[in-house]
Amino acid sequence: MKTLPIFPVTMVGSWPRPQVLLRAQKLKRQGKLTPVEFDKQADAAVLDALAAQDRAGVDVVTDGEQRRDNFYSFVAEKLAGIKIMTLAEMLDIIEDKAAFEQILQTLDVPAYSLSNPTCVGKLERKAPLAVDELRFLRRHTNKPVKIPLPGPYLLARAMFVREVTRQVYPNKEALAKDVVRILREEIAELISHGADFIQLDEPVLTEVVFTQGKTRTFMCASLAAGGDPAEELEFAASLVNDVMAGFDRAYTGLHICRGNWSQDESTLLTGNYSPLKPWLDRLKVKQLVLEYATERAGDPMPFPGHDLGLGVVNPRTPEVETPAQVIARVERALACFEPRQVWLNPDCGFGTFSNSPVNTAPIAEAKMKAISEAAAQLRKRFLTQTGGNNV
Amino acid sequence: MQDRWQVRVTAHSRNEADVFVRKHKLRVGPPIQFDSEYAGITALEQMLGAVGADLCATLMTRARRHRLEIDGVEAVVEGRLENPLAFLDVVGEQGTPALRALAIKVFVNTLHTPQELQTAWDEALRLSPLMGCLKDAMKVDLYFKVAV
Repeated sequence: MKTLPIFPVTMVGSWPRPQVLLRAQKLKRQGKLTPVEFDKQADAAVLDALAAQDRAGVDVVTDGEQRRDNFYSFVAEKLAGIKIMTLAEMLDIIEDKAAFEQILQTLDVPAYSLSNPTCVGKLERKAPLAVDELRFLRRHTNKPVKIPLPGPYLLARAMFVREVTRQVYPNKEALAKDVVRILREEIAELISHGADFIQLDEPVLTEVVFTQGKTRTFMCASLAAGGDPAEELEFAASLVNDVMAGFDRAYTGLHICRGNWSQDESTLLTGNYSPLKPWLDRLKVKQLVLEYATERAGDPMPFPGHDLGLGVVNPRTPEVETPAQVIARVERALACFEPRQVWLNPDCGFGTFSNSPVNTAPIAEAKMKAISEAAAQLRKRFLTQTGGNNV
Repeated sequence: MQDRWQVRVTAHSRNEADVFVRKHKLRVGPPIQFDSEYAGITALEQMLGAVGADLCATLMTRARRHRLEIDGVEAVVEGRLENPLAFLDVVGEQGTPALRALAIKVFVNTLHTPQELQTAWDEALRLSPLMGCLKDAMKVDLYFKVAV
């Protein structure tokens, strides 16, 4: 257990990848670069991302997800039974081509740029999903480390493409059982290797509640259509709790957002947390990592029994928030949370999708620095009131 | 040097025609369709597809000529008719259902910068047979973006 100051500063996960790494990712996909050669380039990028977080004063660091192509489809190369399919390939096999075309038009992206980890066989863990990332970080930093993992609902929704998956799993519920098993194996291993904070990413939860009756917009994660929102949320909550069962001593979190693929805020989802609250309240995670810098997320509300990973900067805007703006957002949250419960982070990653980062590395660093400066001021103000956080 | 090409079209009904071209045959639906569930592919849609394919292929050819590595090109082609209701003979509707405007977005999957691709793009617009004709005949909005 490491002790942190109050208002710990952390990332949600990703950091913009350098051009050389994007090229390496592409060459690896084409089989023109070996995994070992790719790792050399990725190692250098991770060290750069770590150095930037150090300069910015981040307390709990990530590796910037530099080795991942995006926040969830990277699992494809770690799991048996998964094939990465671009949307261009999926358009050939799925029945509802018009719905996919609508998604592409809304996102204004080419079909080849969207890829989905599609389940085509029995799921098995060939290699750890993120343990190698953790080991590398451990060798290069003494700071507490956060490991983001794609959540079970996200994975089950994305992987289950009826036209091809039904030959292996009759429905997404059956597939989800294996997803839960794999995530539990991974988390146990991450804990044994000293992960300080394990975060599940479940952005698709907002898609469940905020797109009813509208064109589905969420990049990739909504490829498999969902059903009744209440049933879907019940399903999602049960999966998250199944994954987390028994890991009570680990510091865990769940991140949700309303999309992070475009700097055009009008294309992202809107709505406050009220429709999600009954399910979020029941989740067996320590922290909820929530967007609050964007006005689309509404006002803070209490989530009893949970710490808050408070989104205080918008990762998509070119303007760097001032520490005063960050503090104002914290003050709003303090109406619902104790200071010792509040962590500070961006609303989401800076490079959720490697090929379409929402910001540049210098701006990301400046935004993280603004958060750290705000945290320093807040700590002075609240130091007498509370002790530190433990992770 | 061949400077003309020909296809033979046989219509069976107002909704279907077979196009015979060299050793091949393809089926074309009605000129346009308003039913999104219609199972065939209309003449207008085939034409839009041909325009997009023409531009994509010419761009790839020009890029190769400049030794630029391109992994793929994708075009989204939208055609706008002057008055589609005129096609249906709706009483009181004026004008013509003629194709009046095209909006074409082209995404290029490459690690090259847009600046590096600019010459190949300009050449593609100049040298693609269908685009070369259409851009002189109607309003054509073109948008070209590098997206890996």
